[in-house]
Amino acid sequence: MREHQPIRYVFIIGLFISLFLDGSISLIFSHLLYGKYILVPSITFAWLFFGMYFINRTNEHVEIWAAIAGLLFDLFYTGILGVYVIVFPIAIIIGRKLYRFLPMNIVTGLFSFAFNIALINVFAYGLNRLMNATNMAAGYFLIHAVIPTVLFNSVLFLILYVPIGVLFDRIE
Amino acid sequence: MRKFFSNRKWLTAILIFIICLGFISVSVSTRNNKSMPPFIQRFGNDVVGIASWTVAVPANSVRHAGETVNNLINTYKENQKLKAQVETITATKVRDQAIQSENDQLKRELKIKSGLADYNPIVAEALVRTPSAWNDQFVINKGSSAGVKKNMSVLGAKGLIGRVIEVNNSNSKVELISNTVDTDNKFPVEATNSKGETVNGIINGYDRKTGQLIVGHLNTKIKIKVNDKVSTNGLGGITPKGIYVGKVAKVTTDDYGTATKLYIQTPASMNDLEVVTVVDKTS
Repeated sequence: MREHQPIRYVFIIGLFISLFLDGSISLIFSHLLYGKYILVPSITFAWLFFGMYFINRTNEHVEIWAAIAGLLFDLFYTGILGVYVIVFPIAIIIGRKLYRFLPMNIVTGLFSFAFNIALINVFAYGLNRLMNATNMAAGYFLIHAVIPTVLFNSVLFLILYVPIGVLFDRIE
Repeated sequence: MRKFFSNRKWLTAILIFIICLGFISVSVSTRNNKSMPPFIQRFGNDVVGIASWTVAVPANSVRHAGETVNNLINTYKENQKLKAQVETITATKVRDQAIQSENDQLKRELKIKSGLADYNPIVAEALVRTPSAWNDQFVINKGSSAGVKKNMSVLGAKGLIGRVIEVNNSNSKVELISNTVDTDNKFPVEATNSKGETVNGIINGYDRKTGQLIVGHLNTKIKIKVNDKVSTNGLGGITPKGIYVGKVAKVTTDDYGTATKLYIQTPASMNDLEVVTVVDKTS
């Protein structure tokens, strides 16, 4: 039975906003983020992860929303369909498994999030490389892109953890 | 004991994975061979593109305001510098006009309709950049309805920055020249030395560590030196002639020591885009 659940609307609208924020931040700060070390903001995935992490009561299907966000990501940003549409749900499913095994606090959350970000980047890069859509060398990618991206997003996670947790708790 | 994953779940997962691989290969081949993506994809892109204005337009205007304040602070210094140039600008303008009309006249006499250097500019604004480490792409707010076509060259404030790789009705995707996948369109360029001799070649690589473009496989006796200018040469039918690419930063030979290899330093604006010009070569 569906009731009127404000958390659902907040989650969906926030998902779209974070999807476009990724692109806007990448454009505006591109001289800082895409220099020698590549720091890719993943606010979309952070929002999905927080949704998986904090929304317990209403049983929201975050995996399906992850697939939708991934599809829009593929369509609008990369133009290669079928990469993020599969990578985002897989990361959320693995995140949920880890969430059940580990105790819930900010340290384990951070660990799980960082692991997922690394997974998303490596998996998506692997698919692109397989289909010859990029020629970036794997060693260069690991050192200059994956490690800085994971660190950068971990900082974002720490900054957003408390505000978004409070926001979701209040609305629920 | 319950299995961690049942057989049916594995089967579904593998099936989904194979379908995704199929989609990826179809979209990669579409991108390489077709002039436009399928209708559904274009339509989706147009809808998402319009939805992205909700975030992109305020974000861009905040950025614009920041730059305006910055400009205000620099105004005095810039004014001093510009005053010195203003003296010569009228003379240059008149001369430019005279040369233009003479050029037109000569072309008419030779019965040339349009030269290698002629193009129609389409001014567009950068909407978002792809948040991805390996795709150096961004989305601009002009599409096929404004006359943008696939493979057109894109200019930034200081010179060549990329090519159009996907066209939708109201937006299109631009790939920077730093992205040099084998299947992409390559830019034909010429390097001119101080004596006025030119060497033609194509951009076929990018050195990520130094941020320099590589022009390889040059077989020539003409000596190119550091700081010689490099621009497009208009051959190949897509790029117009005379678009500035950069300066030669290093001249070496390739791994076998037989051919010359040039490293080109591009102007620093590649990563800082606001307004770009899509160039439509008239033919």
